[in-house]
Amino acid sequence: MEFSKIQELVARHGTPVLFLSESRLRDGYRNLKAALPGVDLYYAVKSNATREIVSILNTEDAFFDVCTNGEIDILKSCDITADRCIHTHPIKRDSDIRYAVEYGKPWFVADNEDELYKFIPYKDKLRLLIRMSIQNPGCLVNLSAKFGVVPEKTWDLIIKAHDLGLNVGGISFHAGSQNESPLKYIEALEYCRDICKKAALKGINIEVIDIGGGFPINYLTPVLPMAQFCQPIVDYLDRYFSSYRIIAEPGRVLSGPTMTLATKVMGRSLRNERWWYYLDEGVYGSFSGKMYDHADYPMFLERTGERFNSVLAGPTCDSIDVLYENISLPLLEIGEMLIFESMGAYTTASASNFNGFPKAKIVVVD
Amino acid sequence: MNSLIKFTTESGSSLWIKNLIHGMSGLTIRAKHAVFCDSSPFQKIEVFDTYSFGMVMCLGGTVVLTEYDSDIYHEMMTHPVMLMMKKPQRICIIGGGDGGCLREVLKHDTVSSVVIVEIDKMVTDTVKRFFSDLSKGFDDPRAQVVYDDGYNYLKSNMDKFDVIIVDSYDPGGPVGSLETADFYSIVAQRLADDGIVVFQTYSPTVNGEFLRNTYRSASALFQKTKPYICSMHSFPEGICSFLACAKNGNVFENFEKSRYESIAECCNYYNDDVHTGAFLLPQHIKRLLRS
Repeated sequence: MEFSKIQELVARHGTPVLFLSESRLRDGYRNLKAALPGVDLYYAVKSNATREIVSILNTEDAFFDVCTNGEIDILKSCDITADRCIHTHPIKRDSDIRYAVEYGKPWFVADNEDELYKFIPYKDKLRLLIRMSIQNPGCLVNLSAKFGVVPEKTWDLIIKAHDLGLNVGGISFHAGSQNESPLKYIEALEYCRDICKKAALKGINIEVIDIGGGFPINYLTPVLPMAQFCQPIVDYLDRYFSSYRIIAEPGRVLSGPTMTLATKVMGRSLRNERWWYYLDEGVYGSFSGKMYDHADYPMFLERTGERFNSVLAGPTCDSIDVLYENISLPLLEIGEMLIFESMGAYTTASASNFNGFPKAKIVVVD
Repeated sequence: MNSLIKFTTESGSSLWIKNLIHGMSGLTIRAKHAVFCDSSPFQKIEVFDTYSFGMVMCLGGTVVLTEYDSDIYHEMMTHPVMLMMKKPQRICIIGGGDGGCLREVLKHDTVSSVVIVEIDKMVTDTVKRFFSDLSKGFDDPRAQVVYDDGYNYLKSNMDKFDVIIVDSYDPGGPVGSLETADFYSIVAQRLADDGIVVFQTYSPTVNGEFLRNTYRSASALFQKTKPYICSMHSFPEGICSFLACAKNGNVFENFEKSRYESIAECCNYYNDDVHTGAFLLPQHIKRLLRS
């Protein structure tokens, strides 16, 4: 977005403000769809549950990945039916299962035996994906640390579910988040092949392979173009999984690039020979992703000139609310605007109104 | 590793099958058209009618069978070991759903039963449809087809076999369980005391590590192991290796001259000279096996 255009919008809407770009969202979805031909994309609503995002993706015929009753309500409010969604939370209460079952006949995810028993009262009304864990300590967020059954035990869990009369229809995995290479997906797919082989021989009908999310976007470090990243995965799927329905759960890759944050300097102070700038947005707001998602966002300012050692802090009274220490910046004025890109995923989603600072307003732009 | 490319040429078909080695070099075959394309739960199965190789079958994008040179492979996989044994009767083929090895072993009238353990029924069905000459052995009353994982079958079935033929097509094939040390030990248990097992060990140049690993695992379980090779036009490396293993090494000294004559009559590639030559290994393979 042009700086002048942002300034004009900020004059109208104030700061902090998140601009949601409809065209970037549509382009991002179509780009991923082209990179993963034949794969149904279930947008991970958790990454950014803004109703407009869900609604725009719905017009692109996207599918949706939800985890909670609240996320189901967002789909309902956009008139999205249950056949376009999967429920991917591995741990649920009976009331959660009931709510989702009443919404429609969804796919659920399980990764342990105790969870299987919860489905028994609803067994004719749902289908199951068994979630396998793929260890990936190298990625931004290791999603298999908390959930998933190890590959060696996945088959046993499928058999257990089958013996309980549950309808096991697929395997899911999460190769990590913001992955640098597609190799982890291939590793996971190799495990899936072994399981699918056993299932086919035993007459258990595995129809769906859910390759999860984890597709990377550009933060400070540029990543592979999406088509190039996906090519080895596509080749592998074509060789061995062409008789299966393949789905994915992209979150960050769709929502991340769509939002641009505009924030202003509320105040400044020269402390111990460092310039401290207090912005009107911090880690309790849209920068919550710095804490929870370990993300670093590209920053832009209009001013150039001599640079000084500086600190960027958020507005709240908590001393943890610091965004960048020891960064080199030109001398900023109070009221000066800073722009942050790639602010769509796990930002406003995990923001709070701590200290009475409301969450950043979201404005849809072209 | 392998994929199909389509591009336009001035005349004729524009469909090429690429069979590549690590994406860097390989073999391309020009096809007239695709005659079959479907997917089983295990892999993608395609058949093409080609100009120079006749019918060609690809599994998971890899060329595994051509009408033009499959005789070489199946004859070399079977006859050298069959003719070293005095009286091979009970045969087990792991993989081999194309029926090629079956057809060859049935040429030996000592054979009383052949069990083929193929994981993918669609492979067998496809071959019966498009490679009728290759699959004629399936009609023989001595043949029995079991659709299962070879490892499972040998583990749960206590029968002993005089010859076991492990005819899997690719180190990346549908049955990863056929490459484990555990599998070799199960094979050894199911082999009769004077029996022979033969493994296909792929290219000794490109997949040298696989041949060496199989050689090592097998050497720990069998008294004698004998690698041999043949040239294969449709392998992108041009060469294929096999590993014959026996609990009683003396069987390798034997050659059934009397039975040989009738076999040679109906072979296109195999004969007694080829038999002798196949076991003569070039220096780099000897070095690989010693390493």
